[in-house]
Amino acid sequence: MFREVIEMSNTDIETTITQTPEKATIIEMLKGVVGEERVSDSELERVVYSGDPAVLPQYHYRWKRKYLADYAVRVESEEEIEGILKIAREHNIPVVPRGGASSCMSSSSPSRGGISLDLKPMNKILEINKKGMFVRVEPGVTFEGLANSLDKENLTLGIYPSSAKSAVIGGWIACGGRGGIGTPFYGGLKDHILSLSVIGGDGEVKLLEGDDIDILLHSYGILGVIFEIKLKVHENVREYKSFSYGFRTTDELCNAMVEITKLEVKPIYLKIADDELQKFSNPLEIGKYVLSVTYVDTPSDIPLEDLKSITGKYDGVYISDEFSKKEWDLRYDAEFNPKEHTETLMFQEFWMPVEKVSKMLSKYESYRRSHRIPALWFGMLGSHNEMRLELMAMIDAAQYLKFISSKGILHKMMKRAIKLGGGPYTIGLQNSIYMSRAYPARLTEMQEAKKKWDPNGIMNPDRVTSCLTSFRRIDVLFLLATAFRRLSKYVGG
Amino acid sequence: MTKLDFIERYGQENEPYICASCGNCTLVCPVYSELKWESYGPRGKLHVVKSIIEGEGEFGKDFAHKIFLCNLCEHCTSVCTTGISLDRFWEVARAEVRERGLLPAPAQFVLKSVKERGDIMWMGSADRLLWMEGIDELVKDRILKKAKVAYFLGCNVSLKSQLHDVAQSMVKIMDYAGIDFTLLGEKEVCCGAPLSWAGNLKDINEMAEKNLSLIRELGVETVVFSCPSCIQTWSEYSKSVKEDKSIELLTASQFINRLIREKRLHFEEQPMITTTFHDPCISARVLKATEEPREIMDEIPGVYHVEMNPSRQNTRCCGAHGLLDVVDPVLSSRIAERRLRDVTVTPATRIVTECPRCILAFDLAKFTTGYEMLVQDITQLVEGALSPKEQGGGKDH
Repeated sequence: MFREVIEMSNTDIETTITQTPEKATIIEMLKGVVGEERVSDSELERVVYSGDPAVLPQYHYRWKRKYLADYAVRVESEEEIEGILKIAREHNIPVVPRGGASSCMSSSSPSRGGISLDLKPMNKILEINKKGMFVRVEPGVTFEGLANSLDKENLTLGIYPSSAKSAVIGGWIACGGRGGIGTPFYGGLKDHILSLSVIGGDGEVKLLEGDDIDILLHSYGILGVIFEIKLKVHENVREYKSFSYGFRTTDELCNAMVEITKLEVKPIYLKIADDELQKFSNPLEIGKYVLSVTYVDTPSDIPLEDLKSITGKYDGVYISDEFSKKEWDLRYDAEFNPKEHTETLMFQEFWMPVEKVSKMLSKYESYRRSHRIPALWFGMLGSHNEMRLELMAMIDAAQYLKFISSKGILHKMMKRAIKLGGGPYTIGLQNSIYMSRAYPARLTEMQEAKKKWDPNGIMNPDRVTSCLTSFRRIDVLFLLATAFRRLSKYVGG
Repeated sequence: MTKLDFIERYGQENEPYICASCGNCTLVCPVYSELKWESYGPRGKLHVVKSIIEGEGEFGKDFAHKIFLCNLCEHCTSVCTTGISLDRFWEVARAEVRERGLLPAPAQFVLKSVKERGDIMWMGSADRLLWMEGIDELVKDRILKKAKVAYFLGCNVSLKSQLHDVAQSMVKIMDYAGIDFTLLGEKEVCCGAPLSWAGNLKDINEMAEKNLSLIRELGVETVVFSCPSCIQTWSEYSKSVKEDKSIELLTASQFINRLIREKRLHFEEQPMITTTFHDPCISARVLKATEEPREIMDEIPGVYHVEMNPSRQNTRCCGAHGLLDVVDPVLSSRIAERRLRDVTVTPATRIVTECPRCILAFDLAKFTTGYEMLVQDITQLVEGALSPKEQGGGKDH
């Protein structure tokens, strides 16, 4: 199959995990660690524990070498993780840590079989310390679950991904925790982690604090398994005020957005979207593009006059209080709503400097016209000057040529994003090909850490530091696909 | 590609692909909460259906059984970010299971019983009169009487002796309020809900119609139910109810609350009763009838109502819905025990609800856990608190 090209060399990993002992022996050993009830090698569980949202369409998987896990194991304690990793090391079995599996880009999907290590059962809130303003949790705690518990103490973590209902804290750390609701105001997850307890792929238990924590962010489980997290918390905020403005052009929208992000008072939530995306959640009646911004509802935290002046300067029109409130209420669902109307919502997520979002959008809008793709897009401010931009296309996966050429367009957009100083938001299995171009320094850092933390190469192989195919191969494939798509306009395809 | 006839016939073949795999459904699923494996949760099951459609998996006995390990509690549907009517999908999947001859034995029994006896328990029409024992005077002229209001008991309340007091309470409340009402008596048959739970979607309308034609003949305008699933079934599957909006279907609490607002019911001071209300899944998530029972409790002096967490639309299932109580009684009971634990962290000594399955489930779970609390239907609470009629009840007072 496809695995022959490994752009970022990691041949040691290749050779160490090709042999597996008798299944019966392994499963007995796994049961010995966690008990019979929490290990499965049934086909049903293997199918279920091998996917995340990126499984759509399923053929996407087929280029992966061995996309089904051999075993699913549910762990409940540090000792159990240690036990499972020991077996994995001794028998060269890949381990794929799995949280809520609500991320995309196949972050927790196997590429060489192995053990899908379900961390959701580790969902205890170990300590809420109001005096010290911190909380200690296990990695499988959902953001919603934590919010509910903190709320009783009038506390909040303040930040959460849009998949907060199902996303778990350990998973968001592994995916970087950069851009979410609350992050422009409170800072990203990096600014909230006080310590991380981790078991490396080598079996060593480490307590990371300060700058050492950084290596685990965006590590996608390739270094080890997080088993305890200490997080900073804030006094709870209960009231928010939202404002939505309609714009006629992407330039006006983006200029207004950039100026709003430069104001001293930072929003809790800032979203931009086109009218195509809005159709599926909160249809736009004024303008073609929307900017919705939410602040903590105290007079000192709402720059009302500045908002009026900035949006007025760029011909933005305030929509209505009702529309604005709905935008905030839909903060969890807005990105997902179009999926209700299509089998395949193809998308790519970018992490972009806010000043460069306009250039990305104008290019995507030109692709929408020239390639006639059913495009839609959404952006959420992640830090005071960076945005998670999500470009989508509603494509029927059965129309292979359209599907693959639209993927080609998203690939072109990624190349453009990298040129503009951005890169992929999530790495996972699918975006690892961009690591060397988007984040070369981070790649070197992670490759060194991988050797140190996981010398046997068992932890979540084929992502971040190595990948199953090469950038060049993908580049050529998509170049051909988009060319065929353009050609198909003239030959009636 | 594997052809899944029923899923296609009912237009559900796209649903597994529309699923965005966000996982919201998994975490609220009562069966997943107990069994912990994702293949028991909605996202996992959809994932498996997809792999079957893609020809990479098999619709075998194991998966067929898992389709039945589900409460059809609508919680997954209510949190689905892509708006899939998941419960409808599970019902259609059950039809697929039936078509393939993989129906679990208890589900087969239910289908046979509903078809041959008109109820879910292999009893018979005469048994539907047993609940009237002791209140003969109140009901003797009510059966098949022409009236604007009908009380539809449903199989559980009619036929299970521990629920007879629910029916008696409702009749007493109606009598107290001076309502001219009718009962179908031995002519009442199953509403049809268990047919959808057991994979027979095509006969539900016929079952509903057996009751509805009678109800129409009696000139009924409002039907009051003790079981919210009956309302859901008629609303979703009865062609005549869908077409003819002149018949109003109300839960017990919706009806009682109306009586209170019309000042037809009066209460006497209760001796400090602390209650908590368990929202039945269908009442809360489908019928959206969450406020009426709370408003009723607020009206009864001496009743102090405390909220359980979770409640209203986020309520947890009692474990007995969707035939789980017969397909896997142990699992069903474990789910009920979990819900009772929600009560134990409140000061409530009484759990009030308005669904016969919830009452049966909690009564059993009380026994298995040893928790001491009274389980009541809202009608029982209301009837027990009515002031003596001569002191203030009835419309004419």
